[in-house]
Amino acid sequence: MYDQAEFADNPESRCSIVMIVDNSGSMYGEKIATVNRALVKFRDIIQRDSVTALRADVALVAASDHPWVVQDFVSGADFQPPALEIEPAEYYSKGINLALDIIEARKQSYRDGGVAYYRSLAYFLGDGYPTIDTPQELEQVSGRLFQMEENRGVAFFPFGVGIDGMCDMAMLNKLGPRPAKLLTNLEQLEGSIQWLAHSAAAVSNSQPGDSLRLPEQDFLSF
Amino acid sequence: MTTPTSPVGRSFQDESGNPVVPGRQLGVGGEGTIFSVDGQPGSVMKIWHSGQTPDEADAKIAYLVKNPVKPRLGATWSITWPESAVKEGGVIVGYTMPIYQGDPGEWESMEQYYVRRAARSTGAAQAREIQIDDRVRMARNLALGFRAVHEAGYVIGDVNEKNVVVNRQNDITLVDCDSYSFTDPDTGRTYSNNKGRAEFQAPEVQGGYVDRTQNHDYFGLAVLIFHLLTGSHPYRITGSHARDYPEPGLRIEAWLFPPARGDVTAPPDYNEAWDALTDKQQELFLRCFDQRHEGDPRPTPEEWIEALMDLPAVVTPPAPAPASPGPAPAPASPGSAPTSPSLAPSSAPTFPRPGPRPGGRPGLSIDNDLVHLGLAAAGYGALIPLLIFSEFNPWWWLGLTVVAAALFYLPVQRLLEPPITGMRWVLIVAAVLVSAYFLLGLAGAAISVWPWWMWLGVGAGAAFVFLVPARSVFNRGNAWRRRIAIAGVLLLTLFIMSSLVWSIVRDVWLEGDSPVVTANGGGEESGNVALAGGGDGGGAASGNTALTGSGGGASSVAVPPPLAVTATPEPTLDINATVEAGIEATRAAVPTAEPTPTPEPTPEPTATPAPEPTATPEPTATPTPVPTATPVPTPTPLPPPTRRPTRPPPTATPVPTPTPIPTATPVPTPVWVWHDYNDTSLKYTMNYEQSWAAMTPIQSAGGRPFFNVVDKDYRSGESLADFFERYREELINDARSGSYSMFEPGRTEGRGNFIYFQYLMQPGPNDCLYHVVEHIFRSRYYPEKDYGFIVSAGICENEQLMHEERRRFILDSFEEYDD
Repeated sequence: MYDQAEFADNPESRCSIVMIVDNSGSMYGEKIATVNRALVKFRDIIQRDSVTALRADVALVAASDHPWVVQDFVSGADFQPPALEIEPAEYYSKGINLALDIIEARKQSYRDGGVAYYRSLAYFLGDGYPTIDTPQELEQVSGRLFQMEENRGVAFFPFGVGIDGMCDMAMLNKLGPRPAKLLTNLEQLEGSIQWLAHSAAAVSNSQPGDSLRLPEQDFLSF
Repeated sequence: MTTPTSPVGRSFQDESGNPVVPGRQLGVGGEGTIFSVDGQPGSVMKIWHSGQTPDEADAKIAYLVKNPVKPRLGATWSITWPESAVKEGGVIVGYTMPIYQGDPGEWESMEQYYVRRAARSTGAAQAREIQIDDRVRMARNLALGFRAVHEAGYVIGDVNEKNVVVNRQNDITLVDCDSYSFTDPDTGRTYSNNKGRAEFQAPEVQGGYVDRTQNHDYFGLAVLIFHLLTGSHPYRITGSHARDYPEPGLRIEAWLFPPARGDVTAPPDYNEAWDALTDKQQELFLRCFDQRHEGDPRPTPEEWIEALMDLPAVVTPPAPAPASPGPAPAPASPGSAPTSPSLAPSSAPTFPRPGPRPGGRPGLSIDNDLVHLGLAAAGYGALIPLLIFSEFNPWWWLGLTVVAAALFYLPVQRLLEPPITGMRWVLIVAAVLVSAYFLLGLAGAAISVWPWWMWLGVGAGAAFVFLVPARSVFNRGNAWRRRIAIAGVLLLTLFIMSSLVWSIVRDVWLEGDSPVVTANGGGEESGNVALAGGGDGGGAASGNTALTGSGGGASSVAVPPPLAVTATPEPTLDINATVEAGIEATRAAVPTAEPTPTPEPTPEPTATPAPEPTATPEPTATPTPVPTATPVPTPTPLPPPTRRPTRPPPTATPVPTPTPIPTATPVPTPVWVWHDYNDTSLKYTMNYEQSWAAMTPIQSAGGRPFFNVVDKDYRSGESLADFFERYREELINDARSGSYSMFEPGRTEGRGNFIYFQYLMQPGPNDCLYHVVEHIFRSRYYPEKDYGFIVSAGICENEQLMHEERRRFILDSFEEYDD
């Protein structure tokens, strides 16, 4: 699926990052504009630091009625966010599942290429009003997210887009183990990224087998 | 969460209260922001992010300012050491430091120089090609910088590629010095910093907080150098371990360093880069990353400086190739080989010396392996025509094997490079054993005996030297070169092993070729005689291959003990010694044989061998075989004529006056000739017959006939092996029927170039006990001619003089050939 030559080209450790974006009709207007600005900001954060740019692999998934991979994984140095357009409806569970699937495939390519990799990051940007998902589907994908968080396979960050009252934070909170945050200040994104290239204080009392490693302190407290 | 510092609306002062005005923002790091300093073009200032101010920053910076690390003039490294604290309202918020030397825009963070992708994406310093020697120089400069910092008593701690910047002259500058750890010797206060990036931290740090020491810096330095030399992090792994240990810190903690772990695989480009390193560099990396060296001192900057002296040491540069965006790894196509000095020594068999070479040790890249394979194949190929010409003469095989061993010796050297631990001891012991065996085989060749087990030694030695490169070849990824190399190794191994098998088959079962016998072997063949005797004895020790198969119950009685004479390297053989030794050996067996002779010792000799003291052999070299066997009057101790019932009576020819055979005209019909030499006064007789299976054209030397040899008796069609088997049985039957007062069959065996048969007999109770020894020799000196002869010697036990006489006899016949 992925060309192994890229790992000879860039054998840096990787962090696969998926932006899952709700671009349905309810996002029309200011909401989708915020999302698009966030994507640009996200690119800037990643490309600000040369090592981060080498380590971040970015993909973009639209959780629309027919979820699709807008941008398959690309090196952070090459990531150029497209301006997302509105599609008819949202299908959160399918979009999230799609994102988790491509994360798995990407990790397999890391293993084949020999590069080390960190826990994947999945950002969900939406307003919390899924239209197609059945409750069972949402429950299933939520279970999968909990599972993957537990296995340290992925860190899922739900962001609510839209001013207060215009997005269903309660719904977003239920998606994963991490509480949703309202996307107000785009600098919020930085904290979850910068650990990739920055030195971090060592964890002083980690237990044997404890999964907390050195550099992830920052984003875990994000 | 850190917030980049904004200098807007803030005023800063230096130590003495003078204002420091920040200018342009030059960069943002994890701990602070770098600004230029207005009015001080040589300086920049770092203002810590809020919350990132180090503990006791005041005292720390003061100490650093007072105790700087300074590169010497002209050094290839530099360091942005704090020059002055920067305070804001009396509170320290940062410090000033010197700007990079030269054009600050030239300096790039280090990953630009080993990550091809990075080099391409920014394209600044990367407009030029960064070759391996550039990166080796960077690594060396890095080690120089580390050494200076350590000598001043500091610990870098947070070693990572972002804290090293590099310019186009491969100079390096260490940055972020405020995070160094140290102990102030005056106050005893320790300033420590436990920050770091997991991928540069030693295993013992991974688990959690450990105060950093210089020993931890050594680990980070090794990782950085590994990055520079190979383009990869040392713990870049594939396979199942990659799933279980995805993050670099986990991999470091688990010691998953592929070159040190048989169970951990790495991508092909990693393996190629690793193999390209010099042995010394590999050794240092292993000492750092191999768990078997846990607790050993990690390589110091000093050692790295030494190990990085060999600039062109690395053959395959995983160089950032800005021009080639393609995925194809640019390194070391075979075409690039000629430019590499490391390939030059391969043109001749090299036995590399330990220790660094002036030009740099050739790395054992796959290309080198290929070159070795190619040379070995070429060497063999060139000699194959000679082999065929020589009818697969063992000497040629020896030459070939030596060539192959020489060509493949290099990897064995690699095996012996320190550090030597664990499995390598096993391998080394195996290597020593096999080498000893191998050398034994060579020694055997040198002194001209060439039994099959020595071939085995040579073959095993060759196989061993093949194994080592094969191992390194098999370890690689899926490159086409790997497949070619594997095929080459397999083919060559097959070739060697098949030659070995062939030589064994040929030498052990003589009938496979043409063992026969001409009269009076050449002078140089004297070597055969002596060594045949020696080899014979050795054979007894190392497994007799009885030519004639099972010799019946009796055969086990008198097996002589092994001789110790095998290794007499004198070119001029000492027949006396060896034959005597053989006889001694036989004699030694006699006492056990005498009290219990053959099953039914008949007292009365119904001796066909009529004791005729004066045996004047009829000097008729009869070219026509006589159909009926009329026993020839042979001297007393001679074996009875019954021993060759199917043969015509041998016509004895006195040795001193051999019958010259017309050599000019090829004899149309095969000729049977038997020379007998009898000296009854010595009570000793010797027959030597050419003709084991006869002769076509003949050449004569010194009046003695030489016969071409065929492997079958030309009349009976009997093979030599069959003949001996039958002969032996006949003798035993004779003894049982009472022909002898005593008969003790000895042994019969085939060895490289001769057949040896001996027995003990006593025709009558009043006769002396005879050792009869028969050799059938084939000259190794003229193998292409297959000349040979049989010497049959009966030796009376009571006589001593016969030894000398017999030796003289044989030598005389050889010496004649010499002229």
